[in-house]
Amino acid sequence: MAIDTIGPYAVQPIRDFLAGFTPVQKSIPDADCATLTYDILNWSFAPAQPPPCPNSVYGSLSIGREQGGSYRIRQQTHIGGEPTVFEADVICNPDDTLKSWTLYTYRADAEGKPIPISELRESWENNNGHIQSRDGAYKYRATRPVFSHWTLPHILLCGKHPLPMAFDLIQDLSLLRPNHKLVSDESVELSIGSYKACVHSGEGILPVHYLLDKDRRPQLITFGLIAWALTDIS
Amino acid sequence: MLMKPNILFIHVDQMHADAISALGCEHVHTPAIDELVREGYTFTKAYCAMPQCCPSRACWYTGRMSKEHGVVVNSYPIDPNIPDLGQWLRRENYDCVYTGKWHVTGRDLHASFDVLQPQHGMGELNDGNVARSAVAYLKNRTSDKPFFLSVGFLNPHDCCFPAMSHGGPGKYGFASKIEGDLPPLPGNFDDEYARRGRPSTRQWSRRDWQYYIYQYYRMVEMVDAEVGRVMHALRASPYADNTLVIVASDHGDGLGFHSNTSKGFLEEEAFRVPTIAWWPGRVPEGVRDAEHLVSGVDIPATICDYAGAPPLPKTTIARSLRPIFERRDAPWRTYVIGETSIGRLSVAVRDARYKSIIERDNTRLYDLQNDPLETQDLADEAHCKDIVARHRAHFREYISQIEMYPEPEIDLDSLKRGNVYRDYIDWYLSVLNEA
Repeated sequence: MAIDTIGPYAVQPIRDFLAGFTPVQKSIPDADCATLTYDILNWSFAPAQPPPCPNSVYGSLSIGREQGGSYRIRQQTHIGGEPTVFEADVICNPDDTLKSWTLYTYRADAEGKPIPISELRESWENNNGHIQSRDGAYKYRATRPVFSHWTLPHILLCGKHPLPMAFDLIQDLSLLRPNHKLVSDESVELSIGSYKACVHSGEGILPVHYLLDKDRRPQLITFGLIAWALTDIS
Repeated sequence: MLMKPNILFIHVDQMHADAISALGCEHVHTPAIDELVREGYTFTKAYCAMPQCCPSRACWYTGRMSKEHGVVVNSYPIDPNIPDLGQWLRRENYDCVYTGKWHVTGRDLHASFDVLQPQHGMGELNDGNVARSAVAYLKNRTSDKPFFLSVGFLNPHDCCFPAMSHGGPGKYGFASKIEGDLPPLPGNFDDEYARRGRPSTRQWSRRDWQYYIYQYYRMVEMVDAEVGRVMHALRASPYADNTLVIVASDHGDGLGFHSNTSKGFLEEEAFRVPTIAWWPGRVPEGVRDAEHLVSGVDIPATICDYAGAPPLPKTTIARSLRPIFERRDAPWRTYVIGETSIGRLSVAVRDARYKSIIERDNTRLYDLQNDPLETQDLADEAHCKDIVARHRAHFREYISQIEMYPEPEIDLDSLKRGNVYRDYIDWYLSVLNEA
């Protein structure tokens, strides 16, 4: 390795943020029925500054799982001032693969109301790998079990699926990314503790690292320029 | 009365012309762009007018070369008197709508277009929003006017960040875990990069380079899926039969070729760009055109032609691609010009077979038919003297055709890269006077 030998690569995009990060210590009585709340961080370009480059919070994410394997997801990000909102309801099969889901996305005005031209509603179904939106615009054929990156934190939290996992990803619950895998990676030693790491890689994504604490709470999830940092469990 | 066509211009940023699986790249999977290649018309000798974001984009929206519109580097503002495509097509009763990356220095996007999703400098953060905004627009619009929808994706431009000297957010240490998935280095990779390459990459190992390329291809796949998201929505919309789609990139990326990253130079990896047109029944399907030399300024000329608009004013180099699509017997250019003002001022003259890269005190010549990777400089070969002289004459002819934007009345010396205008005006005038 000729570049970047400063610390664990899994947290390379959030080294600035880590200096002030406090892990969530709340216990989770029932991992099958929990809401994980994250700050969405982004890595920032600072050419004149020595590493680490700064991180900032540009949104929030809430992933709530209920008994029976349904999820309610809400993500809000701020680009250009007003928020862009993404809401989804997801129903999973008993094996945690995606069964059906609805999306509602919009960009809000200064008062927080949806801008009509930006509103988008979609309903999707996955029938044994035949994935399509109910309006017929999108049809995909998945050849592996289908998961979303919004359901993977709970899957890791529950620990029911042995690694490695091979699957197809539905990014944003609307784009098929085939041929993905989730495997164990080397543990990550940080000043705030030791974390078990899993890495998710495949077509159309940069390697995603999940850092789980000793109770399997997914405290930090790093993508390429984006990362999720756990702020609450309820 | 015939309905004017809708126009959907989808542009990506910093995409290498060959990073498309349908065009033979085995290390990337681009099903959405592949479908456009199968159903559309692909130019394999298409070049940007200048391989840097703002200059190239200003060329797209004005139809003029960078020395004509004033944006010769990213920090230079556009001539405020030049109309852009949004303003121009509004006069033709088009709904002109924009989403995503604009990056035309000095021009307020909102003055020219209705804006859906604002731009952001990171594709991973915003390209999905941009795609969804375009899809929502296609579903929700109620206007009976034709639309010109310009969709600006940022990726794979995010590759600039892991190319920073300390690796940016690049997770380079992970490369050892996926050794078998890393793509090979290009055939013209220069192992002397540690001595001759960019300062930011001189410390890289060969595996770092491979991991950079691996990340780049994943970013291409990211944006490919977003292109697919918009195209699926278009195909399912009432506009599918009456919409011309053009897909292009503002410039390429080094991608390890000649041990380069980024852009701003005139080797093929940065200068040549993907350019695809799609309109089933109106644009020939499944064509890969290696004959016509296409410039980025041809895109606005083509859009104006199909929109029934007069050509943008004072567009001296731009040519509409429509006669090519309609198989009309029209003469085409025999050479295409590219320019750059980053680093040393230089100009590329590309003809059907050869390319010169001309600097003030040096010229390199490559035989792209026999040496597509540009490894052998033939400029000093005796049998190539005529070609070098011919390209020099093309350069002079080009200078005589364009109308150089005079130095604007702002303090250019205070801008990043200083006063480039004075340098290039002096150089171009001296070349012109050679005649």
